[in-house]
Amino acid sequence: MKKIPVIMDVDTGIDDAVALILAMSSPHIDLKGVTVVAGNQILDKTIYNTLSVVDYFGGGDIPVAKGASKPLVKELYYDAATHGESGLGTAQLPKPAITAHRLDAVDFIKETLENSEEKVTLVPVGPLTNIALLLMCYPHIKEKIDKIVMMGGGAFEGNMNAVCEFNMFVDPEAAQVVFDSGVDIVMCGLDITMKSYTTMEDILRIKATGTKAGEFCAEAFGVYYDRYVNNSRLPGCAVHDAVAVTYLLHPEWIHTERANVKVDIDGTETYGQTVCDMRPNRNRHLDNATVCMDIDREKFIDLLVAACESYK
Amino acid sequence: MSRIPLIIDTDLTLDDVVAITMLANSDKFDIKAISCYGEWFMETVQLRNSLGLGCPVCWGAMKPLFKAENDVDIYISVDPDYNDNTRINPEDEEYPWDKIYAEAVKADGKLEILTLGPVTNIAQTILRYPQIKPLIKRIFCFAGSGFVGNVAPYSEYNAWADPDALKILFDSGIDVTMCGLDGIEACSITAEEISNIHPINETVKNVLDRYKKAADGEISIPAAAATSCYINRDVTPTKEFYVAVETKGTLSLGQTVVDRLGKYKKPANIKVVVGSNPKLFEENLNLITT
Repeated sequence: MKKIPVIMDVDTGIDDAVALILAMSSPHIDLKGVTVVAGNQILDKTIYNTLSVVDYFGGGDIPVAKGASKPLVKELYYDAATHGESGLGTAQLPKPAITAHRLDAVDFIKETLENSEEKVTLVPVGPLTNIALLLMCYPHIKEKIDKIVMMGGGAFEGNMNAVCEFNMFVDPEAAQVVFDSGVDIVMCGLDITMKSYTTMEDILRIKATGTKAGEFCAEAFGVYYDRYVNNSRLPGCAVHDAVAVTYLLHPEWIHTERANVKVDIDGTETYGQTVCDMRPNRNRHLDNATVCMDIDREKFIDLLVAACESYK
Repeated sequence: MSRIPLIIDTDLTLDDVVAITMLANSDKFDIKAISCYGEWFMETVQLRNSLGLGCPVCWGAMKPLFKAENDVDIYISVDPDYNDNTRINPEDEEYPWDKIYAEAVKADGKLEILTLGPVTNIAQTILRYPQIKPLIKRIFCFAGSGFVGNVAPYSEYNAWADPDALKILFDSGIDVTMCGLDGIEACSITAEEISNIHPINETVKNVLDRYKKAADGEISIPAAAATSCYINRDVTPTKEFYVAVETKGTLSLGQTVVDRLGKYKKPANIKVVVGSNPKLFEENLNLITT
């Protein structure tokens, strides 16, 4: 299998850290860089966490670039209740030896794509602020993007309210820019990510790998797991962001539907909703996204365990 | 068993004609009035006359409460050869809100309302006579959707046509049941099944012919399927949810946001039909068959 050239955009974040570990452990992904946005925590913390994770698990030669500190229009809303004050729950990592790239996130992606001979896949798993700025300001770069595989939204499910998912809630305007951009999008929203949950049994398997990745993930999942089990109907915690990376590696495990997706930016009850037009009689020429609906959960968990194991 | 006092509110779309015919031929209901939304008053009078109903037809709202008028053309007239426009009832043309309130008082808490179109007339009734709320036993609405819509990705026509009115109804505290597109999904029928129906009159025949012509695989006669759920409401499965109505968003206008997972942490405001029985629908279609 040819390596897939990828840039990830993260707001690290517990599940972002797991997504990064999964991507960095894979021999099939060529991670050309990681850009960072505010979301799960404020930018100072998400950049620090990303540098820590990339340095500790990725060997430190993957560039990390700092992006937007607030959404395009709204004020920043972040989620310390789920991800903890640090953004990584109770997990501790050594102080990173690497520092952020000289370019900011938008310039970093632009330059990397301009210099790349092949098309690159963007994998944003946080609010879409950086990606929206890139597509708005440098539209010529679209031809260097293979596709955008993102985590966010939901066709028939929300988590901030009945219809709106966290990353969309933080920056709905940015999300609308991205869905409207003409770039092919794979949406890993709550429809699939809430089916990609990790039970306590799964967490114990991850811990039992005994590797530094296994130890870290098990510790980071602690409070995050409790919050999910107490606040949702799930028997475990959803590892949302890792699902986007899983799509890159194993699209065959995932059931998808084509749709025309737009983002609601003026609704009262529906602000930030990803409006996925799946009506059978819609104009299918307008379909702009592949919406992930279901996953083989057992295989997904096996993949996470194998990723942790690879750090032996 | 005494008949249930019922008011039917309609915008007389094709499928409403089938629904009203079903109800007129059922022995469960005492139809107290048919209230009209929109411009099809005379056609509704004709339908009433052709069905031999004695109830008044009340002409109500011509446009949504607040939003701009709906520019859609989905209505039809009844049997073109049937032109009995006699205002047989002295109360014809009485305003629906006045009639509904009067009937609610008379029925002493037993009045039920079935809505088949935008619910503007009912919202105006609630705004005009807020004291009516405890006097209504139940309002059963064919409107909305918990999943996929028809006029927009998530919005169903009747909800979209007057979302402000639907929100007033849902938040009224009255016992409201929403029967949306997902609720009646199981009650689709095929063109062949439609062909097997021997229509009870020319009007129904015309309507069914229109459906047959448009048939492309499974087809739905939505207001009739919802009415079937209403007729059998004692066995129609419902769940209580908090349901919000989007009244502003461009993309989501008229979406009935069903809070299935309890994210709003608000008490349930209405019941939502969560399934329907195709067998019972088939039985109820006998009401429009010779």
